[in-house]
Amino acid sequence: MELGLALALAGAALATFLSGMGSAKGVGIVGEAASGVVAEDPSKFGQTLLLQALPATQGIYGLLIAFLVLLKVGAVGGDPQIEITVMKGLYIFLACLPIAFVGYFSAIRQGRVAAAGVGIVAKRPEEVSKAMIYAAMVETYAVLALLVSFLMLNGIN
Amino acid sequence: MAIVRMKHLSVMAMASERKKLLELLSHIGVVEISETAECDGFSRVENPVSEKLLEELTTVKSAISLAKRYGSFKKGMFTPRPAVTEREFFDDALISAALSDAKRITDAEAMLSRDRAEAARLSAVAETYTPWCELDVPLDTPSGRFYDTTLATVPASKSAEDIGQTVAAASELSECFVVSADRELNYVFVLSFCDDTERVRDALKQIGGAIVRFAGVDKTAKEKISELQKEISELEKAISETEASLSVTEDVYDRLLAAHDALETRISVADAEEMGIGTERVFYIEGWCPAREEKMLTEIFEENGTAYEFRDPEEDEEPPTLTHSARFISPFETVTNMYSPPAYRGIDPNPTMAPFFAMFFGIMLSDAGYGLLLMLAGIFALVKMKPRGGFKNFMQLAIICGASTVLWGLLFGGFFGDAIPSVYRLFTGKVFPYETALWFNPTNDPMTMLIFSLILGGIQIVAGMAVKAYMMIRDGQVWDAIFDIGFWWVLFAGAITCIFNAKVGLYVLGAGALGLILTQGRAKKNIIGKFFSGVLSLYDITGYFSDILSYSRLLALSLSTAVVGNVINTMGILTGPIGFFVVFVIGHVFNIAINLVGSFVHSARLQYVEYFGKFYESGGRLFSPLSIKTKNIDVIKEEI
Repeated sequence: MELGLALALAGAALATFLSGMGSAKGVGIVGEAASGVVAEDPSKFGQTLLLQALPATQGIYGLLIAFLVLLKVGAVGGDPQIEITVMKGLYIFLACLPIAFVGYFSAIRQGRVAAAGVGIVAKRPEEVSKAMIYAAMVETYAVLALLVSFLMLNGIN
Repeated sequence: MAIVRMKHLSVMAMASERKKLLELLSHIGVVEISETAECDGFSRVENPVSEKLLEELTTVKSAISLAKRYGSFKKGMFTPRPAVTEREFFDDALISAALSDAKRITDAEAMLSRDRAEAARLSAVAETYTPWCELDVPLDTPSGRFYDTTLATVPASKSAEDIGQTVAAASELSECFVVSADRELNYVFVLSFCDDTERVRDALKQIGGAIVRFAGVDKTAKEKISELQKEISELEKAISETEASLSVTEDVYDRLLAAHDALETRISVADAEEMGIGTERVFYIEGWCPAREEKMLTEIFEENGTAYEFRDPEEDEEPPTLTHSARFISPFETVTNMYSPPAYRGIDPNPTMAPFFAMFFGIMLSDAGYGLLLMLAGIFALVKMKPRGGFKNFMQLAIICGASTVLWGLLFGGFFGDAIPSVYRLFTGKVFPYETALWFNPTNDPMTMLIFSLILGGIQIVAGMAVKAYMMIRDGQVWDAIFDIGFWWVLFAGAITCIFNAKVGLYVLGAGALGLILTQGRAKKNIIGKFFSGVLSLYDITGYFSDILSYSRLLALSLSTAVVGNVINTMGILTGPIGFFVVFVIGHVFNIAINLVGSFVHSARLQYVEYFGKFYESGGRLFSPLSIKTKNIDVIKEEI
């Protein structure tokens, strides 16, 4: 019984920290690039901030899945008497993997695309939306991973 | 509701009328000037005024930024823009008045920075005298017949006694005072006989000293400092006077703004002049205008005795694109133009794109509370700021998309996450007994939501193909429309029928597939090529499949808003009633910010990639008529 709970919590931890690390790295990369542009032209702060926010979502997706796991095992705001068998714990653990790994890698890649997009803002600020769309193309896969993690988690009784 | 038909316009007028004519055109604001090629006898118009105008614009620009810094008026974000009448706008008096203000402001600024630099220099000089304050002989005391004075600095590591001994060792009959000392240096004054002076100085240098000379300063340090301070305080008085004169009033500031826009307009007129060609007597220019303005322009040209000619665009010409949309559609032009304006001979995607964009945005944000805030923000900005152009469109977009968000939020039961049940639980400790969703709650029933998302995706894909079919039929390619789109629809219809009746569905699906195999290779020459291309075309099914799956983001993003909103409320409940309020406000502001960006970007992406990919012909150039440039002010139109 205890091992089941441990597995579920390990899944929640993985979903949070891997996707969080990815987002931290991605947001960081964009921030560094953006600072260079804003040093030249402070009026571009808003546009670069938008780009910087884009790779932040993976961390939120990870948090979202982790929170659903915590609700499921009764660690937050639920019934703490729920029994988590080893198999159920393993299921939950596996359900966390898509968003954990895809979150990690896609956030970094998205960060790099958005950082390159900062270059677009530097030269042609009116084209910021194109830079955003490029970054959003990468995020598609994080969205799909979130979806699968959610559906898997939802399927576990 | 479509791309506006354009007419090519050529105008010929007397060279002396050139400026007046183009100013008239910018007043009308419906003609885009294009560059005319030089030809026999006609040469490019040279306009020396543009240099001067650019210079004046620079002056006004720097005066505006100075006025903003020193101005004595408050202009908030929501102050409406100042307005001038068109007559004032085109009047030279406006510019010359503003220029004299601008010159006054920039001169004052120049004086200010000069005075500030001078004051800083003087106080730096005064610093060098300070250590010698206690000395009551002039700093540059001339050598007497028998004695000499020496000023020196010696490192602080040497004590006054050390210095005294060193000097005494060099010349017994000299007198040495340490005038003052700070953390780094001792300031030393030595009185010695002329014969000993050199020795004393060498001795001081031996212990790390440096000789200080104040050539020509025939006053004591104290006198000198008070003299400098007097100068500095005079400068400071001048500075504060200059600053006072710099504090421009709002009227002057508004006039500068107006002059800025007037100059920009004149520059665009001057640029337009230089696009034309002419001889000494006549002036010739070409351009584009919407066909519907032909009659109005004709009347104006007749009245002014200008020669003109309108004609339809030729095959190899690419006129600029102007889309004309219904009131609720036009804000969405911003979204399309971010991708690329439609080609002149393409199709206006806005009427069919707008409902999908608003709907997808609403589904992704799916929170009635957030939607309400978005609508209110949009309305507030429109009423208070009276914005124009792109920003106005954006605010209208916010209102429409906000309304859609409210609708979907109600259907899916999102109001600041699950705020209503949470507040109920916080105060009663019981579970909220009612269902908040009017339709269903995607968090509890994600499979329904997934299917709903994919169905919407299917509808948009089919809609995109329908537009493509319309374009083909419009161009007379009816058979192509049936082969390339009709057969796919048969195939789709079969796939859907399979869900209800597998046998019938498979027949229909097979018929569609057969149709595709038979027709998709029709461009190939030999029969084998035709067959293989036909079979290979079925591979496109993966494209349609992935397009439709892409709409699963509708589910994922709406979940992301809802679940994070719920998490915020749950965390709030854990912290108690007061904590709830704080967590609620901060948490939801964060959630709105993140999901607003996400919803906008992802619903735009669905349009650009999945929808536009089906039919859109991009690459148009937006129609930008010669007009009155209003960046800072509003110009009230009137007859001139």
